[in-house]
Amino acid sequence: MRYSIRKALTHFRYYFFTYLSVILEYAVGVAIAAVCFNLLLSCNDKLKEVEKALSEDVLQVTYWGQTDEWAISPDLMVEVRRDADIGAKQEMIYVPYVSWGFSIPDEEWRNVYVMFPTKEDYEKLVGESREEKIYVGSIVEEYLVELEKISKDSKKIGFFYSNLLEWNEGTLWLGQQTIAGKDTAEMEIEEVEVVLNKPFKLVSQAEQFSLQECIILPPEYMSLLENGRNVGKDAIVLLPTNSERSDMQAVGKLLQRLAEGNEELHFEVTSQLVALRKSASDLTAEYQDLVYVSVSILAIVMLGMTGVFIILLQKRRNGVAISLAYGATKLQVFGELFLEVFFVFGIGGFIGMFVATKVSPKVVIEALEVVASVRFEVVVAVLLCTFFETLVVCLFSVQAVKSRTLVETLRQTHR
Amino acid sequence: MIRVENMTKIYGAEQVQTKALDGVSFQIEEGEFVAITGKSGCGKSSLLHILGGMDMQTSGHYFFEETEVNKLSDKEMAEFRNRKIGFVFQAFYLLEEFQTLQNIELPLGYSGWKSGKRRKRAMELLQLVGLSHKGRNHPSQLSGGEQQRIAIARAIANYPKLLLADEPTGNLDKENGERIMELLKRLNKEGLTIVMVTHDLELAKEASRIIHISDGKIV
Repeated sequence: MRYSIRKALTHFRYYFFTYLSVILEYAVGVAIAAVCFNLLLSCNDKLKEVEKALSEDVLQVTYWGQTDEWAISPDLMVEVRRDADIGAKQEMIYVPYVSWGFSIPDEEWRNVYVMFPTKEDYEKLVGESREEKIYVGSIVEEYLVELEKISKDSKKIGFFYSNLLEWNEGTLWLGQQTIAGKDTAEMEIEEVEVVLNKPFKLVSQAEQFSLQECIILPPEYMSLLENGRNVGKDAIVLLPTNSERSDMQAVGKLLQRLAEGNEELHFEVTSQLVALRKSASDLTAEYQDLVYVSVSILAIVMLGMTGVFIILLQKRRNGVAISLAYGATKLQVFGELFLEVFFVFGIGGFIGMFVATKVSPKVVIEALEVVASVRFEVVVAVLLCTFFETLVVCLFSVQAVKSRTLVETLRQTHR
Repeated sequence: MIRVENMTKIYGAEQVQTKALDGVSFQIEEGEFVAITGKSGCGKSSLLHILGGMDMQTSGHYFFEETEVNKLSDKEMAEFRNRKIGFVFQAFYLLEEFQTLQNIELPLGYSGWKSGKRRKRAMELLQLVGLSHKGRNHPSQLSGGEQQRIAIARAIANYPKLLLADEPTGNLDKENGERIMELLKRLNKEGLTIVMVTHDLELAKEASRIIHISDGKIV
C-alpha cells in the first residue's frame, strides 16, 4: 500500500501541470457548490424553524410590543406598558423593562429570554391574586425576595416587579413600587447595581421592542438557576395571567406544553413568520437552481478529467504493463491510478472547500437573518463527491484504455 | 526447473487463426543459459511470454518447479512474476516518470520490501551494472546501453530464479550489445538461469544451449 501511494505521488508530481487545470476547475466547482449548498441548507433550516413556529399555536404572538400597547396572541397575552400599576392591574402579564419601550434596531436583533417562575410561584402569584384578591405587588415583593435567595449571582432577576426608570452601563435604576394600602401606592426610587452578561447596549429608551426570537423557558428552569442554567441575567420575566383580555385556557395549554418537557419553546411574530416562510421557500427554490448549476460544473470537470486521464493512460500503457509484468496485481494498479486521480480531486476539493469556508460566512441573506455558514453535511458531501468522481474517472479511463492481455499492451506500446 | 509439454499457442478468432506455437516440448535445468532462436514471427517471443506468465498457452502444460503455471490464480500469477521471473525487453520499458533507482525498485515495491531496504538493494544493483552515478537520472537521460543495463538490474532485483530476455541487444549497437551479453553471462555464472530470445545466431552461440524454433515447432 505504501509503495502504491508513493508511486501514485510520483506520477502525480510528474504530471502535475497536466492536472493543474483540472484541479482548479474542480476547486471552483466545489467552492460554488459548497457555498450554494450551505445557503440552501441554511434557508431550509430557517424554513423548518418558521414552519415549526407556525405550528406552535400556543406560542404565537401576533403582535409585537410597543409602549402603552398590548401584544395580543390568540392564546397568550402579553401586556407591554409604560407605567405598570401593579396594584391596579394585578392580573395582567407584566414585562417591566419592556414597558419602557425598548427597541432593537433592525441590524442588531438579539435574543430576549423570557422566563417563567417556578410553577409553585406562578400559582402563588396568579392563583392567589385572582382568588383571594391580594394585590400582586405584595406577592411579587415576596417572590422577589425568594428569587434573590435562589439566584445570588443573578442580582435583581425579578425586575419584572419594578419599573425600569433609567439604565446606564452596568447599573439599573429601578423604581420599586410598594403597596401602602388597598388602593394607594407610593413610589420609592431605589438604585440597584446589576451586573449584566449582556448589557442593554443595543437598545435605547422609548423605542420599539420586538418579541421576535423570544425563548420561553419552562418554570422548572427557575429552580435550576443555581446550576448555571440561567439563560442570562438580562432575562425578562413574563407571566401569563387571567385578565379580561387573556385566555386562561391558553395558559393551561402552555403549562401543559411545558410540563411535557419542552426545554425551549420559540415564538415569533406571526405576521413576520408568514413573510419569512415565503422568503425562505423562495430563496430555497432559487438556491436549488444554483445547486443544479454547480453540480453540472462538477460533472463537466469529471468529464474533463476523464478525457485527460484517458490520454495519459494511453501514453502510460507500457508503465501499467511493466508494473503487471513485475508482479503488481490488477487491483494494485487500479489502486495506484485511483490514488493519483484522488490526489487531483482531493487537492481541488480542499482548495474549493477552503474558499467556501472563507466565502460562505460573508454570504448573508438579511431578510431571513441567514448566514451561509459552513455545514458539516456539505463537507461530507464534498468528500463523497470527490470519491465518486475519482471512481468514475478511473473506471471509465481504465475501461477505455485496457487491453485484453499484458502482452497485447506491450505489443501495442512497442508499435 | 522448467518443463514444457506439447504447448500450442494460437492467436486470432476462429476464421483467421495463426499458430504461433505448435506442440512444443522441452525442459530447462537450473543454471542453464538457453538461447531461443528463429526467424521473426516463428513464435519465440510468444514462448518467452508464456514462460514469464505474461500470456497463456492455448493448450499443453507448463511446469515451473513442478507447479503448473496456467493453473495459478491471477494473484498467484502476479506473485509468480514478481518472485520467480525477471524480464528484460528489447525496448527496455523503463518508466520515464521514475528515476533510475526507482525503476530498479519496482519489483521490490510490489514484493513488500521496506523503503530503506529497497533503496539499498537498488544501489547494489546500480553498482553491479556499473551505473552507480546515474541513480537520480531519468531514463531519457541515459544511453540505450545504460537503459538496458538498468532494465537488467530491475529484472534481477528481486532475486528471480529465471531471467527471460527478449532480444536484449536488439536495440543496441555492437559495443553495447557485447557489454549486455557479458553482464548476462556473468549473472549466469553466478547461478541465474537465463532464457534469451534472439534471432542473432552469433549471440546465441554465447549460450550453453540453443533451442531453434521454426513455424512454431522446435527443430
